Amino acid sequence: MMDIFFPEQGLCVTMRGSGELSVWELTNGTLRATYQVPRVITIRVHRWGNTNAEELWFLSNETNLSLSRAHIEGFLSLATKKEIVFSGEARIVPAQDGLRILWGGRQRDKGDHHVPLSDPYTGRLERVVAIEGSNGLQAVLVLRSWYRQCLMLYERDEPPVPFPEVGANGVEINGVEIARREQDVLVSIIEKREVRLFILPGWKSLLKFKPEPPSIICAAFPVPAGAWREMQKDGIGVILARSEKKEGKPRAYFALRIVDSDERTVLEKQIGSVDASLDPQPYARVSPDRRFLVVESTYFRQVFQLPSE
Amino acid sequence: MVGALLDVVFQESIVLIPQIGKIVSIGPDGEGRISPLEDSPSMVIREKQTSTYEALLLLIGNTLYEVKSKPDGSVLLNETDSSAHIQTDTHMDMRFGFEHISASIASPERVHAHILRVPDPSEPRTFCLLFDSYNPKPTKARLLFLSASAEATDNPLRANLEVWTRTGCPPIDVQGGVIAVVHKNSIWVGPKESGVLIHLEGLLEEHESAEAIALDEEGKTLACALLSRRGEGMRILRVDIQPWLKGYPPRDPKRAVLAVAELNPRLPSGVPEPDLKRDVRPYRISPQLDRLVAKASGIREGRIFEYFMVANLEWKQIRRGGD
Repeated sequence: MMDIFFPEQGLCVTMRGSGELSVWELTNGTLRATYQVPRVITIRVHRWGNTNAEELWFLSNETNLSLSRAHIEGFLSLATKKEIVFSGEARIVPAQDGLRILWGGRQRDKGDHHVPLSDPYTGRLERVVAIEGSNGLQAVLVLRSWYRQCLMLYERDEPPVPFPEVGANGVEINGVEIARREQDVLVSIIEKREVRLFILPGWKSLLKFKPEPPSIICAAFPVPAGAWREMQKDGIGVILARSEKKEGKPRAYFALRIVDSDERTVLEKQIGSVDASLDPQPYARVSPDRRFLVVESTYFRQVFQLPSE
Repeated sequence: MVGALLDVVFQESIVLIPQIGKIVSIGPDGEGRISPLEDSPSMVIREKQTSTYEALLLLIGNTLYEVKSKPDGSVLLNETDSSAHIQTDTHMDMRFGFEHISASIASPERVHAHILRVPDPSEPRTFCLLFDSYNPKPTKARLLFLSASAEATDNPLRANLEVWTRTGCPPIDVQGGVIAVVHKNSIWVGPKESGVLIHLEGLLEEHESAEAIALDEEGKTLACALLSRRGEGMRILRVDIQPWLKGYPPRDPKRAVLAVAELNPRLPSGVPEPDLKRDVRPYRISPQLDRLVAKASGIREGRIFEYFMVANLEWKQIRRGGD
């Protein structure tokens, strides 16, 4: 298991389950540093005022539950904090063997949510994505794991809702991407062989895309209407990957396809290729500024630059 | 596991090498003396008291013994008033403690601890490696950073890292606010308050593994003994680790090497000279970075000799053109 984060523009962090955290420079694809950190539950925070980077928070469950924020400039530091504070009043705090989402701030109310570390029905808390909107905390996505993985959506004054029709293959947190607008949030979610686009609040489904074999979905991100030329409707940017043998040697090819909610392909461009085999499900994400694609597979690790238009 | 190495400690000019079943003490002349050690300790504590003296404590049963070397090469085991405990309860939680620090972590099997304590002005100053047996090869262990300050009474745990390291004589050192650890055969360092280690990437050759490390008193440079797995022998380097501690590792890590050391071994009498390229495995470098303790072997008249040796380190600065 490896999670990918973009805590600063131009930098990428990859983190393995064993606690190995690497910092990469995207512009030249080089490794800046590798750290060993405690085992933690990661929290990815998308701030309203900063669309090109995401905050990286850790929830540690050693003796006491504690929250810390990772700062990667200079030597990696994990600053212990009591809570994650959002604009408006909302907060996320460690409490009662898990996290509490306090939508109304410190004055607790009935609409607050408790996200337990372990739950007999939905399993172990694995990862958290918190999304801040123009009016404060908008939604929290929680990945849990039991006999399969399950993604839960928490919104204010609503009971938690599981990601609909989750397949047996489950969901990985790298496959969850967002794009925000003033009033709503677009979420793209990869299930092993297909990607779906939703709109929040709620889980309103806008689009489902499944590539033709032998291409597989490597990464995906939501594309709001108007973000690309000639794109009238919301859609998804999909990184398609396929493996071929050239002169007896394996080679992996990557392409970007943008599909709108009418399932019309708006754009298709080749990104690049690597002299290596491709895993059935490589670890990959596109940076929030949509300039870079980071792919890590058993046989290679590569940063690609994405076409801008 | 009779003979398994527990640790190597430096007490002035004497080197103590506790193993399961015996304690070897090596004097300045290189001669080793063996004292029996009955029962296997569940906890080994190495406590730096001065730059030339390290105390060694062993928890055997419920009693903590201090091991002291005498000038004639014999050793004394004194019962101490200090407290230490280590136990696993029915929930598989491991509770262990030393002096005023007591912590409990979920741990299915591990029942041994190696504690390194340093006389630093700032916390944490106690570092505990938890593992299931004293292993000469890298094995999975937990490295805990523990604080004994008043505000930490409820929760002394400052960090808990998963490491792959040798658990018999663990290659861990703390000096000048910096911790250095051999993890996955390579060297990792970090400011001890950070609870995080950074990899000294690019320093070792691919076929080398780090076997012994020691920091200088200020925690600015690190001495390391690297062993080639291809039989190309041992390199002993002194490295400027400050660029890594600032979070910006050097583009060319090899240029961070300040000096290399040559070995000047003092062999016990009657043993064959080892082939320094093939037959020497380093275990510890002294806190003053002037001695190396290694296990050596050699053949004489068809008989294999295995012994510990102490070698003086002669450092030679690296001169670089244009520096």
